[in-house]
Amino acid sequence: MTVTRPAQVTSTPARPDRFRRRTLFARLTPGGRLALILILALAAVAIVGPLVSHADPYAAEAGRRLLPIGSDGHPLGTDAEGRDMLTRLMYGMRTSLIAAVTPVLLSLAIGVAVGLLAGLGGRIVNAIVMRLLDVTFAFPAVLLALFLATALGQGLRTTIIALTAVWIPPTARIAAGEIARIRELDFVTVARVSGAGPVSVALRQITPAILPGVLAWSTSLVGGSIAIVGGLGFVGLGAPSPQAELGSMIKDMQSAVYTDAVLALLPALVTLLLALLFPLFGDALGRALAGRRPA
Amino acid sequence: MTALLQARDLGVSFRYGTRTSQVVRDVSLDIAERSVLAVLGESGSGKTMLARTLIGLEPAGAEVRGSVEFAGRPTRPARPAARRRLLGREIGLVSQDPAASLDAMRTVGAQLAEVLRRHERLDRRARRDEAVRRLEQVHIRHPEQVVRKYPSELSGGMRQRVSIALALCGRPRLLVADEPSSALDAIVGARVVDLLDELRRTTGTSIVFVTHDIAVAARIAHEPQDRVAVMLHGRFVEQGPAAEVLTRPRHAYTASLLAGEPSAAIPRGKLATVPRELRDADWGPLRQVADHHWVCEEAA
Amino acid sequence: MLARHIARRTAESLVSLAGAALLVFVVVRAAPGDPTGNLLGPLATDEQRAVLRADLGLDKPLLTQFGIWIRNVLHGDFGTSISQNRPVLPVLGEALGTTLMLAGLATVFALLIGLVLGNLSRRRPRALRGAADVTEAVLLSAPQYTVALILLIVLCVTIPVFPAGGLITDAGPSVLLSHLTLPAIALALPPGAMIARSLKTALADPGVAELAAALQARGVAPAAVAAHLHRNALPAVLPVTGLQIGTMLGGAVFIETIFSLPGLGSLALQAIGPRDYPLLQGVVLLVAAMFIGVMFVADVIAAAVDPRIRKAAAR
Repeated sequence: MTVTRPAQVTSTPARPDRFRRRTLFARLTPGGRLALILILALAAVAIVGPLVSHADPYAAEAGRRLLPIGSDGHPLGTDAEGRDMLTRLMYGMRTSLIAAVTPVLLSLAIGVAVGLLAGLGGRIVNAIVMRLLDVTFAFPAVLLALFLATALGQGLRTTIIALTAVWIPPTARIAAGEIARIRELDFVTVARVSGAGPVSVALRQITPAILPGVLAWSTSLVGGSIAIVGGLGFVGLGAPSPQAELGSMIKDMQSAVYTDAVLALLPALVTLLLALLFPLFGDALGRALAGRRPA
Repeated sequence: MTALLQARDLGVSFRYGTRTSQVVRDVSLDIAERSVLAVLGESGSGKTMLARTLIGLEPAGAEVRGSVEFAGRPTRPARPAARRRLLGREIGLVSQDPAASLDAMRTVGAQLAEVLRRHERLDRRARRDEAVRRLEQVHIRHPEQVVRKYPSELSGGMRQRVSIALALCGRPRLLVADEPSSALDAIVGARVVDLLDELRRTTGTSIVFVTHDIAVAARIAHEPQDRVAVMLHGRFVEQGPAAEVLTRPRHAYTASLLAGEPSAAIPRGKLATVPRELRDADWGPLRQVADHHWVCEEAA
Repeated sequence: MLARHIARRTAESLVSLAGAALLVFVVVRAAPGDPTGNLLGPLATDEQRAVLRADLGLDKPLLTQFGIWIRNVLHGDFGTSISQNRPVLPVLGEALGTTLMLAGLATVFALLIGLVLGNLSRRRPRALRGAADVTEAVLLSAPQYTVALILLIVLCVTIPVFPAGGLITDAGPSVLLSHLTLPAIALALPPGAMIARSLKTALADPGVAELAAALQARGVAPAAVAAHLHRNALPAVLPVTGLQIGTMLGGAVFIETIFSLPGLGSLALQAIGPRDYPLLQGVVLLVAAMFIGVMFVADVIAAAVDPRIRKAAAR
């Protein structure tokens, strides 16, 4: 009896790396990956830290002012009022992150809406919206934020409102630019000639197409947002004392600059780190998303 | 007869991380005085990279092997200073995009004067007259007006003529023309090719003429001493006298290229394409098949 | 041709300025709290308030008030500072001097940083390029006050090279310069990185590489080639530079605070506490005017050097 041999099973060859579908994380540059991990780690510390730690960020001990890093019970020392630095840094990061991220999210939503209005609303609407936006570009962002925050009164909420107002125009401009880039592309034209209404085109075709570019921009913007929130806190606007916020902590430690330099720099270094990480991640995100973006 | 330009086993590669991409492989060529070498190849065949490497202007990051000699002097490897003495004075370049090769922010006259100052001893006034004369040489009408214009105020054909005039300022013995007519429409492009053909007769300069267009190659390489090289995947698969290569090709790829050329002789709908196995075959070293005629063989 | 471009840009700038003024006016009027409360204190009677409101013109319609305010501003009358109890204009003038010196010096530094970093990042070897790119990214996003604090600690406290703050204007230029150098550097870092980035982008354009090859092939000397390339980068770099100079003129709030410099930023902060709106209004409007002015100048220079813009403007 002859045994028919089974046809040799050919294994499917592994597809080349670049054709394989890879996760967004895998497509990030190494620097972008590191930035994302650090951001998530710091955010986790900022959110979870205050929940699990029993230390009180407001407990000031007059006799324990400016304890050095590594002191017993105070791993990162104490501030000029004798409050635990590590606890205050965790609370401060939480405050600063909330105050920095919220305006970016709000301005992302409003900015894209304004951008759609300007980009798709016809020439006259476009001209009017753009001129209105232009007015805010006559001020440096820092001064505009300072001015708005002053006029609205002190507090974290006004900081958030002021920053939202400051970030809407540039975000809308980025969105409008992206829209201008893609609105004449084939897939939009196809949707239009196949009878999709303007609202449907705006929501189903245009918005998803511009989102990668705008998202990358907004992610980077969180860095600038952190910088301005900290700056407002540093000059006494923003979260009222004694609430921990990175900027006001920098201010509180300024008197210690000459005696305890490293301790005095801690809040500034954390602010610096946060402000650097978001643009680093944002740039990498933009590049990773660009692979999927219609050119 | 010693060659004006001689290249031996020239290779160019780029490294991307761990991968290496070979753009030019084992190219050897000789260009005699007062002759044309037309390098014919499809886009991506490495012909532009070859042209740039021959004159030492390969892009940053390119790894080059092999040797190049100009008039018996080695130019590669060469120090930047030595290369600069050669460029403009002995070797000129005309590139594909005249808009990019001219400085949009300087007038035509200023750009001519700048290059003339490097190559000729002339005072300001004489330089201006010379600039006008150089534009006349490339058949630009109303040159005394054109010297005052900016490149953006000229047509594509005019710009390419200005670019040729600039390349000829130092009276080079060799002109490297990289697809000089491809960015122009057919008639304007043909006139530019005719201009180069005329200039090589009047000035005696040799030309390396890179093109993807067989008709253009035939238009420039028509003298007995002219050569055509056919490039595929960075390699010369055939190199020989222009008349031979373009009428009696010895290599299957050349033949299929010629068959793909639309002409009155081929009926409509019968246009051949280059078969894939020809394109992707592993072509080995060149073998001499006749006087000045080499053809690649398929590697065993 | 250029004249038409200038005329159009002038008109646009004036519209922007009017818009900025309107924004400043509206925001201040919309601010919570009655300005009479700040002036008269909590014990004032309603009658006193009404008199003061009429005095300040606050009982008139909003648009009329804006008109009056603009007319006064155009006559150099910015009102009276509440906290300093004297006209705003001379107060602005005193601070403007410090700001102009600081921003002027910072502009020099920013241009230097921009030129050096922008050129380094297209050089071989790759490590140098990478270092330049990282430096640029860090300088671009680092909050100025954190960098200023680090500089202050390193260069004023640890190794005392520079004085730690303040401004001494009557002890000769070298003392003045020693007080301004460190703040100017701190102020110039992000703008310098921004200029570097725009220069790098402009020089990385494929057309620019093509031009460089063409010039080299004609035998043009390396220095002259670099001049050609940088001139071609100008139209792209100039607007960015203008924007950054404007930012340095009006955004030095934190730097001035850290180094105790009596500039416009410090003045704005002084106005915040006592809600000195006339002073704050004056500072913000002055900064906006300078900002728009610098942008205007940068744009006109860009048009003047670029024949393509000149031609487009003529059409």
